[in-house]
Amino acid sequence: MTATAAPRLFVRKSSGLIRTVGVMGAIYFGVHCISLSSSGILTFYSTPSLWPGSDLLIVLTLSAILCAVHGYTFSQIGAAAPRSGADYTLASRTLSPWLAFPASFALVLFSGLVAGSLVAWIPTVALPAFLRATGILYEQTWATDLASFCQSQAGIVIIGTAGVLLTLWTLFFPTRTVVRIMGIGFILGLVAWAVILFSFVTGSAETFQANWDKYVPGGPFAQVIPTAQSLGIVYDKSFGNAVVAGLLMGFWIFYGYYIPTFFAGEVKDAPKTLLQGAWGSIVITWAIFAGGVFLFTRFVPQDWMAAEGWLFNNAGPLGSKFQAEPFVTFYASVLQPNVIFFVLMALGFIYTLINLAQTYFFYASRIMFAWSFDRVVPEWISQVHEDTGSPRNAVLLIAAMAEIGVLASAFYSVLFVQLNFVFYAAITMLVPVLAAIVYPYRKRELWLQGAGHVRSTIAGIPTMTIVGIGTLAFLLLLVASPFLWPAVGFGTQQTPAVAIFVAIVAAGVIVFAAARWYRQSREGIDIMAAFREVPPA
Amino acid sequence: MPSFFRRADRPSAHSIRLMQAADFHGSNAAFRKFLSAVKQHGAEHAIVTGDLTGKAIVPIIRTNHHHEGWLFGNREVLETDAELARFQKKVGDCGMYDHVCDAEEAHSLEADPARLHELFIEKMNARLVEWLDFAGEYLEPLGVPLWVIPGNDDDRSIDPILDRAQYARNVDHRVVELDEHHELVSLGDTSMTPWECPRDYPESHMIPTVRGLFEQVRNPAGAIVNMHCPPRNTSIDQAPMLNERLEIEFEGGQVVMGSAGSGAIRQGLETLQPLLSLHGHIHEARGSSRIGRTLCLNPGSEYAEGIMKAAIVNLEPDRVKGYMLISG
Repeated sequence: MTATAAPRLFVRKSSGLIRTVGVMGAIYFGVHCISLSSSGILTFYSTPSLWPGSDLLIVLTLSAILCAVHGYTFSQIGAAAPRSGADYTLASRTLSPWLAFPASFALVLFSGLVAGSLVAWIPTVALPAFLRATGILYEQTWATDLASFCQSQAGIVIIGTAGVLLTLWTLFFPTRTVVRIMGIGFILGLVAWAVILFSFVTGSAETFQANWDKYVPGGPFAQVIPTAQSLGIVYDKSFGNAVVAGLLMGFWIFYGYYIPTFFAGEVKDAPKTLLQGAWGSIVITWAIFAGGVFLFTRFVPQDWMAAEGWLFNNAGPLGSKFQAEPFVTFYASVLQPNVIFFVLMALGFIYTLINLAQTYFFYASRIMFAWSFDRVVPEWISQVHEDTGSPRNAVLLIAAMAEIGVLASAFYSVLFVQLNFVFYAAITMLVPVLAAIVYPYRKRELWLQGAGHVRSTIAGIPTMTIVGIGTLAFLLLLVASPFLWPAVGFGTQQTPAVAIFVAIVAAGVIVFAAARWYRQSREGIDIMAAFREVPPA
Repeated sequence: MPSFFRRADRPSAHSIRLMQAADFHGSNAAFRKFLSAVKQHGAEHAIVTGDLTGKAIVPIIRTNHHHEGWLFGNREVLETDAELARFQKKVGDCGMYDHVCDAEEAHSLEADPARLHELFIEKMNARLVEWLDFAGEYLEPLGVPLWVIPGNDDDRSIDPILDRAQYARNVDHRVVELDEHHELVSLGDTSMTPWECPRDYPESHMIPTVRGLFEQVRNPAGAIVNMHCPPRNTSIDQAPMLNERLEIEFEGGQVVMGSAGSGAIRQGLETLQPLLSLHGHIHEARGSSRIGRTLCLNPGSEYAEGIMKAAIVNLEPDRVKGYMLISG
């Protein structure tokens, strides 16, 4: 009998010895957070229109690889601090709460804003695509008129506000009900994509072009590229263009794969589960989106997709009345003008956009819990309703921010809010990523006691540090990108965008300082105790 | 920095400061950090709210040339005595017990649950004696009393050890006075869990037990409840729901959470309305909750990572002046 065959651990009967979440459960978790709806729209519309000439498959693949690096770092952050607001918790203990709180504060505020902009996709994209398809395919002018109303400022404000209120209302239910609502959305999202992929598999160039010209007389298929060129689109087919697009757009397309880090503390084998959840969900969504692009571009050139999206963004402002409908659901409806199909697609996309906003509400409220535990914000923020267990106060605050996101989407644009969020999210993530890089050195004992890949090394250097440096470089590029490529970021709004960020971070510092003063003077408690190392006696 | 930021981290002259923690589950690091934190933060009372003992033994297999053991899925080969000692410390800091033996003994232990149980009792009791002795040496010079109760995971064999402790006081099922304003009402019994632990009881047991204890309280306005199990339907009793195979339930991409606290304790708190209620049991449900005027706290636990989690509470005669959840 060999020593290695001997038992590794004896366990007595006691509480808490639960089995770990399986691989499929973890992947399910991540795919849901990425969102099959908004990311599908971004893949087929935003990315080609913002980076004309870039190869979408290269962009998606490169994005997925970079996001996998970032996902690795955040899975380690979650594994090193497996609790609510893991990024804030790790950074405040490893670096300083004076850095970690303002960064976390800014991330939560911007997450609220972006949740609103995601809801605003409903009036700007999901609903109009459905209504316009109804109007065009069945010659119902009321539907086309309603689609135009949805995309107007008044339409975005009214429907977006209703969406925020609906999201808020659903989050007042018990958690079990909320997760059931989200579970249904997951199925609906998959069904919508099954319809899209089926339409692409069975479609042909002839069908698409003929149907397009029939249903979109204001923007004939053959005129899309020439019109965009005459109005100023510039194609850059260099590999470098695809690389830059991959570096910048991918973070948004796949954003969400790492969100389980914030609420996977209950999972016993967090290092393995979080990594599998992040990587597995990136691989699956990459396969769906890349598969869709591959199938669609068999009969529609990528340059056409870029021109269609570009015209949607620019034709109106440039005085052209050229009609553009650059949405993946609309493409599928044109290929398969079947009422059941596009009802399924519309339902799936609208429903999952609400689900996505719910996810943002969820994770932002959990980060607020972490602040509340540290007594940085009032206790009432983390109070939950006695009957439903819903953190009503926290979600109310996030709903208020989401409403601002809806208004910003109406008066600027959805893309303006979302692309700026990439900048804001990236700059606030610098703090926890920096904390992850130095964690093995500043918190040596805890790092050595960490489980799984948290304490792994490459050539004696902690993997957490090495991969963290790669992630830091990626984030720095994202932070620099709006300055280097204003078209995909601030646009002409550079000064207000930066000023908003500085103001919010400054507000975070003030909130922390005020909380510290209040607790010390009124309660005799120094909140810095929460962040101090306690050596063993 | 303005001078008001440098104000001493102390309660006022009319306040007392408590330090409470739970669910050390055998972690040497967590327990020793707790004692250190009591001193660091100038607490006047130290309260441990149950689940003192660990859940696992790591067999360290002796071979002809070295020792080897597995920790968190990693095999570690220990060539020297120093490496062996470091590994044993790591095992202890994570809340587990080590047992140096040869492969044959390890196999025979695995095949004999009764013998394994005896080994667990031996290891758990030995560590607890060590802790209680050390706590006495450390806290006595500071004049800080240590109030201890067992939790649902603690075997009955530890009760005589707690009772015999020279310095710590076992206050399970008792009401004692901390000072002229504050009574401490303690209970280690817990409502049923899926694992049917040594001190898991049905609500039919919990209701009269809690009521009986609360009837002994003379001044509810200043009373401090110290019960391992949290009150039901609060933010501090939320645990992942499990199916019949003890797997975490998932729905919609989320872990399904539910209440795992005691209805009897909640009902008792609603009626008595004490000043403060201290709990543990649900490691992931760190936080605070209010039931009427009563502030309920669960400091949470991350014993397996060697992290100490505790609550600092400043109390005035009839109000909680301030509190803080700490970890380290």
